[in-house]
Order: sequence, then C-alpha cells, then structure tokens
Amino acid sequence: MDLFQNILFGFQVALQPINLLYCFIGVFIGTLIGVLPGIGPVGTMAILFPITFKIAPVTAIIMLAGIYYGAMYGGSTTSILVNIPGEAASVVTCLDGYQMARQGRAGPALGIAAFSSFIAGTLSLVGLMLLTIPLAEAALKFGPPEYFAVMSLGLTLVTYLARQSMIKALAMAVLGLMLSFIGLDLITGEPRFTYNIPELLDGIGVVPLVVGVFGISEVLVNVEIEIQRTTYKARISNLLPTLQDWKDSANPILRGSLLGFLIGILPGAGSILASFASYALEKRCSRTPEKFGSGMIEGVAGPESANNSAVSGGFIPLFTLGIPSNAIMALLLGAMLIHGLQPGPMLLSEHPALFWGVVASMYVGNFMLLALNLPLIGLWVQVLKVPYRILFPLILLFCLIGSYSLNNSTVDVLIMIIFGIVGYFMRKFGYEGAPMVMAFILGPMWESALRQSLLMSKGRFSIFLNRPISLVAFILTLALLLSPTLSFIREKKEVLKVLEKEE
Amino acid sequence: MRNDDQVTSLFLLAFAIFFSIESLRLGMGTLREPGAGFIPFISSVLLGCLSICIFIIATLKKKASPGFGKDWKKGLWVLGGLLIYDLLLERLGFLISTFLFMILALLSFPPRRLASILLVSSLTVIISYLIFGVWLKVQLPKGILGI
Repeated sequence: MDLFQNILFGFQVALQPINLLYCFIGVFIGTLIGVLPGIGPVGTMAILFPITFKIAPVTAIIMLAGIYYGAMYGGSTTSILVNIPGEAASVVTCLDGYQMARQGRAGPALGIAAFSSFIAGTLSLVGLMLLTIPLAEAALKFGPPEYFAVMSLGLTLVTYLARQSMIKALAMAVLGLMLSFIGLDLITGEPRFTYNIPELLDGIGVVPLVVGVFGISEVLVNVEIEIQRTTYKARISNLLPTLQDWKDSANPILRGSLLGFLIGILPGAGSILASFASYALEKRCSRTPEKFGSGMIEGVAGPESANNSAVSGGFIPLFTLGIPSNAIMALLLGAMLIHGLQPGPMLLSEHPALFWGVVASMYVGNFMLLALNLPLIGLWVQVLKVPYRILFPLILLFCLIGSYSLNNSTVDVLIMIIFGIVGYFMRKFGYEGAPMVMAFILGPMWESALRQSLLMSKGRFSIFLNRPISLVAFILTLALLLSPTLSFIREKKEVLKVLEKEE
Repeated sequence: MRNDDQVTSLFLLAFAIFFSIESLRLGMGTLREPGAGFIPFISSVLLGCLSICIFIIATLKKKASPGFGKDWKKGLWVLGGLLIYDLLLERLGFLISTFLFMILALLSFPPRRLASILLVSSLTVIISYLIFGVWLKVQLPKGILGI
C-alpha cells in the first residue's frame, strides 16, 4: 500500500505543469543530441547544468534525466537510417537496424526500437521502485570505511570495463582524483594546489571540466576529419510493426529489459555494455543465429530494450548509496550536490518528492518519447542534414555559454579550453574520459571517507578488513585489479610458447 | 618507430612527480591524523607507478601511432577562436564577441560565402541571446554595447 501511495505522490509531482514542461524539454533535447553524432548526453547535461540552478531541484533532475534516456531513443534513429550511431549505446542497433532499412523496412525497425525502448523503460522503472527501498535501508548501515571501499570498487569496475587499456583507464581515474584535490582542504581548510588563483579555491568546476573533456575535445577531433553525412532518401512509411514482428520481438524485449536493468546497476557498465550483451544473448537464444546482421528484428528489439532499462538500473546505486555508476550518473550527483541534496540512503526519507517525482517523470517521459519519436522521425531526419560546418560552431557556443554562466567567470572558460585540449589528446592516445570524470566527482567523498576512516581507527588500515562489507568490496577490487595482469602474463607465456615452437 | 604511449606516460610521470613534491609541501600529517598533502601524495605515487607500467607495456608492445587527421590545422584555428572569444567576451560583450566567433568558426570550412556566413552568425547571436539572455535570464556580459 505504501508503495502505491508513493507512486501516486510521484505522479502528483511529475504531472505539475512546470515539471511536465522541463521533462519535455529534457527528452526533446535528449532525442536531438542522440540524433546528432557530434555531441553526447554527458556534454549536453554539463552545458545545461548552470541553467538548472534557477529551477527547483526536482525539476532540474527531471530535465537532466530526460536528456539521458531521450538520447538513448534518439541514438537508435540514426543507427537505423544512416548506419551512424548517434550514441555509443546504439552501435549494435546499426547491425540489424540498418540492414532492415536497406530492405525497405526502416519503418518497422524504427517502430520496434521506439516501442521496445518504451516497454523496457516502463518495466525497469518497476524494478527501480521495488529495489530502491530495501537497498536504501541496507545502505543506512554504511559508515566511512564501507563507503570508501564501495567507492574504490566502483572506480575499479569503471576502469575494468573500459573499452581500451585498463591500465590507462586506471591512470585516468587517479588523475581525476588528483584534480579533485585542487581547492580548499575539506578538513583543515588549507588551500591546495591553488597557486593564489582565487577561482581555484572552490576547486575546478565540474562543468568546465566535463564540457572540455566531452564537448570541446569531440569537436576538435571531428573538425580534423569532418564528419561526412549520408542523407537518407527513401521514404519511411508504416512505422507500426506487424503482428509477426511483435511475435519475434516479444521475448527479446523481455530478456533485454531484465539483462539491461541488471547490467545498469553495475558500476561502469551502463547502456553500452547492456546493448552489446543483449545482442550476444539474442544471438545465442535464436534458432537462426547466422541470420543476425542481415536485418533480424530481434537484433534491434533486444539491444534497444537493454540500453533503456540500463538507464533505470543505473539510478539504483545513485539513489541508494549516493555512488554514481557511470559518468552521466556522476553528473547527476554533481547536480544534486549543487542543489544542496545529498544522494544516498537518506534521500528517500528526506526528499521523497525528488525520488518519486523523478521516477514518475521517467514514466511520463517515456510516453512523451513514444509520442515524440514516431511522428517526428521526419524532423530528426532533417536535423541530420544540417552540415557539420554549421553545427560545430553552435556546439562550441553552447559549451562557452554553459561554462561561463556557471560563475560568470572567464577563468572557467579558460579551464574548459584547457580540458578541451587535454581531452583531445586523451581521445587521440586512447585514454578514456569517463573514469576521470567519475573519479573527479567522487574525489571529495572518497577522500573524506578515507580520512574519516583513518581518524576512526586511529591510523590503522585494518578497519577496512574488520568490517564485512568493506572486506568483500576490497577483495573484489583486488581481484579486478589482478585479473588483467594475470591475462597479460598468460598472453606473454603463450607468445613465448609459440616462439619456442617456431624455433 | 615513434611510440605515443611512451611519450604520454612520461608526461603523466612528470605530472605525478610535480604533484607529489607539491603534496609534500602541504604536509603529510600522521596516519592517525592525515594532513592536507597525505592523500594527494599517495595518489601521485600511484599515478607515477601506473605511468611507469604504461611505459613498460608500450616498450614491450610496439604499436603504430594513431596520427592526426589531415585537417589538424582546423583544430588549431578553432582553439584560437575559443581563446580569442574568452579574451574578448567581457570587454566587447556577448553580442559582438559571439558574432565575431561565429564568423571565425564558419570560415574554417568551405564554402566560404560571406553572405551566408553573416546571415548564420547574426541569426545565432539573436537566437542565443533570446534563449539564454531573455528566456533563461543567464547573466551575459554587456560590454561596450551595454545590452
């Protein structure tokens, strides 16, 4: 009964006109940037960050969350129509979605992508509502050592699941932590690494850093190669999937929703891994796995469900522990902190309107996306025709305004440009931005949890081993850290064996 | 063959050494009561170790350089535009500096038709001012125009 009342309360919050408006703005912008390849949800959320200072925290989080799941919807449109994934999470949708479009079935592919996203979004919200309350209650027992251990595990998982080298991702996570130390010391109040620059006393802002690493650097890389746009000429008709399409997609949608939700909860995994895992699962479950890649609707329905339900799953660690599971959630954490809200186990009891309002808004937002995506596909195709030479100055301008308006400071703009250059080289040389941003945002919490733990234990590190939760978290962290080393040694041994045989 | 990972790892190592020296200056404190430099120092040592690992791996596994795109000068042009914008923003104000920035950015790619560049730049200035300055009430620098 309690849950039912809470859901009703959530809808009361989400259906307020102002929240509806910002939810719409969020999902609309999300779909737009999902369609456009030059900019992703992380950069967009950071750019729009300062605007949210003037609105209520619930409304702000509703809008920012809308951008995230809206981008997941938008990303699939370009994957299907022009074989260019707008978002990394839609890469696998290209495989079968684009083939369907080439066979003249773009309509049903787009339709099933939208419907499966909607169904998965809805199903995973039920999971989110059911799991959050018990987990938040369990999290109340967490002290600084547990938080430190779980945060360390989260950061290690993010680097473990890095697409490129794990050791480079680890280095980026440590670099992110180091950057977060700039500013006043949390405990002694002493300025650290500020070099008499007053703007640095509050530390480097999240917005200039994220906008630089994810926005400016992306533009710098793209102007070098100039994205070639392929425009889609064929007409899209009959968006509604046939009965056979529905029959083929029903199970992939259910499996994708469950798998995506579970993967979404894991730190670092997020929507990208969820969509890939779902594609692999569907291929395994199929009676005709060899046909995947030639326009199978299951290959669209599964991954599209998975990447959307991973969004809801990703909210669980944030709402229960206050620990983000990926860079986007880390930004949402940053937004909540700026609004004076501390995400974590107390969030549910202290700010029920925020939690239930945001959850209900995601439901409303999924409806909006369904209504928005299907009739407006023509508009999104038009958006794709805007040449990059006109688009990139606009992206840069939004980045500039976003960074400047945070504190009305040109120093922030300079910091953004510097991180744009850093991000450019990171992209060029295979260093990922997500672990750095996550560590940067978690940094202050991570440091204070460690220092508080040491104060509690009078300087003994055994405090982390005496408590079961932190002990388990550290064992897992260690296992994750060691596993690539072992595989590296194994690889070397195999190479040696081959060489010996050749000799 | 030039190895990029060796170069980047040396950069990271240099940064880690610099950061560790600065952390030592802040004071390490004791384990019972860690000082302001304690955790930054440990982190910089960790980064140093990781960068040495990256260097060793890069030396063992030789890898081709990803290289830069053929139009890397455009990136420099864009960066220059951003820096000039930052310098002029508070002096000239949002409207003029945005207008100049848009012209500069649009000039980086052909076709460079002056009329269309001026039209797109003016439209961007007006629309962005209406969205950010008027609707969202972001405090944009007024500069010499006073708007």
